[in-house]
Amino acid sequence: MDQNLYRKIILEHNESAFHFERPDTFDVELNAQNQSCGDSFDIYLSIKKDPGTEGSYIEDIHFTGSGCALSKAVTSILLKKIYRKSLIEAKTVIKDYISAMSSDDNTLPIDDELLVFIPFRDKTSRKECCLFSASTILKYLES
Amino acid sequence: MTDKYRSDFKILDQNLVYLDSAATSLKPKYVLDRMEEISGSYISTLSRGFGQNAENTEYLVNTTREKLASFLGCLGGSNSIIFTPNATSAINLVAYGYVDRVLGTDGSILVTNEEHHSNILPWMRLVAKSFDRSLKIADITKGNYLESVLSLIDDRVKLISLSLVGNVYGRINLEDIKIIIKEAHRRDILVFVDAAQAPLSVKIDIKDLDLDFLVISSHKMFAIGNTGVLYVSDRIINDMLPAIIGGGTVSDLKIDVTSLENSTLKVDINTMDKIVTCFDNYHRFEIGTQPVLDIISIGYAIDYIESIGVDKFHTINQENLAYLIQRLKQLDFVNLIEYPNSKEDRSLSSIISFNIKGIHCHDVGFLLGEKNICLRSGMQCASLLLNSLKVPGCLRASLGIYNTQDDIDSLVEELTNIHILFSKK
Ligand SMILES: Cc1ncc(COP(=O)(O)O)c(C=O)c1O
Repeated sequence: MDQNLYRKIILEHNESAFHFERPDTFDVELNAQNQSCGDSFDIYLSIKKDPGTEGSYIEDIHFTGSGCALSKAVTSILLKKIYRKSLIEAKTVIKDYISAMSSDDNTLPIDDELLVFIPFRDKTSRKECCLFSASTILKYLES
Repeated sequence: MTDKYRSDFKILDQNLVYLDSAATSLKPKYVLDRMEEISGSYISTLSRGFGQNAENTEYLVNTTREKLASFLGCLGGSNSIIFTPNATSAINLVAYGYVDRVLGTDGSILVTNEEHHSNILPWMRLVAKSFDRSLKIADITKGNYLESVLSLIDDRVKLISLSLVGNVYGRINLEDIKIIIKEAHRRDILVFVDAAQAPLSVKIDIKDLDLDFLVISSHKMFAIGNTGVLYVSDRIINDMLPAIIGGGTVSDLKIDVTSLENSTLKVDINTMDKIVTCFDNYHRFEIGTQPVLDIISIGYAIDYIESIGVDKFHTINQENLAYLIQRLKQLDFVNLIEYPNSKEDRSLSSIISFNIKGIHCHDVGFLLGEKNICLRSGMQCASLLLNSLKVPGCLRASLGIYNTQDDIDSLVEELTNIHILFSKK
């Protein structure tokens, strides 16, 4: 693993994570936990009906909590990707990411910015850091 | 400092800085070679065969049990030495086979907040069985180990279970535990010692300590496999019931199926005791087929340890640990997690836990791992201690006889690099 890659992830997202604060109002609060180490993030979503379509969309999203640089960066980027997206679009982003992280197939679709996490899918000790917040969000979106 | 013993560990020919001996020790060539020699020829199961292979296997296992009895200064001889799947299983065996009955409806168990989860959870579940039972947890983080334990002893306490060497502080608690045992026995309280981290730092002498129960973990002392070794005092062993039961533990099942009414066997716990006669001593606890090779390797591991001497291990580890702590203290970005009175040098073993300020331990552990520097990161199965210290996780470096100053210098250099990596703006 290239230390510069690690550095890049840390620089961009650990130090200034996307919407890393508890909002005053929200509709849904999710708790994502890495069972293997105790890292834990709370994710807050505001969901709105989209007047143009039948569905709903994520009007706002924030998170708080503590975790390693990697898990914080993953959560930060995922949140940024699904911010203001319809629930259906959000589900696709998260599902594609989880699929790409869980397979060794390099042709699966994945957002460019999330590509940076692909090397960690072969690191048993770090794979869960990359997946636990995504799984929690997906579970909510599928419920 | 010596690197005399380094060549005993072939794996170190690779570019490896191994600072994780508290998790498991590296395996010396001596043990690996003996295992390779015997695995081709001598293997049989126990107590079931005749012929030379069975004889040899039986002999090697018995010899291992005797070596362990002598290594641990065991009063009841090898009859008191029980092999278990790991140290954790041994604690559960004692919990359900004996302590459950001793606790009655309102007994207490006393531990400290530095215990490994394996020395807390089985006891927790036991006290959860009855509303009036309780678990007392001494807070040792103020540096008052002895007082904090003694002050919680009362008439309801039936068992005190303590680690001889903690797996985060790495403090040798021997002198305090000796005093606690005297007080406990004066009050008819049982004492369990979790010595998983101790055998290479403390010359364990069960006779001298007058213990009721003790457990060690063979893979942390050069054996292959994970076998736990449980000592149960001969005052207790034949009153202890096998918490898990099956083949190999009973002499006969006195049931004649042809005379059963409607082919139905009715049993309650009293009739069960009548029709099932458990073997005595260790036999009643060693259920099913035993991991013979793993067990035999413990005998060779003890040969290796005794060829050097526990004192020598301790001296080398203490010297290296003092150097490691001194180097870490020079790094202003490192927070050490030390027992508050660590000036008592005698109590140092081979473990130091720490964090880099502002960086999650897994990030550090991972980046060290990428440089082939192995140590442990996380809760260390010691969340009671880390929660008391308000630390969400930590790094733990632990030493073995194979470590050198060069290993320590590599760690310090890499920690410095990681700190720089994270502080670059
Ligand atoms: C102090 C202590 N107790 C108990 C255990 C559990 O041992 P095992 O993994 O053999 O069950 C460990 C293992 O790390 C330990 O350090």
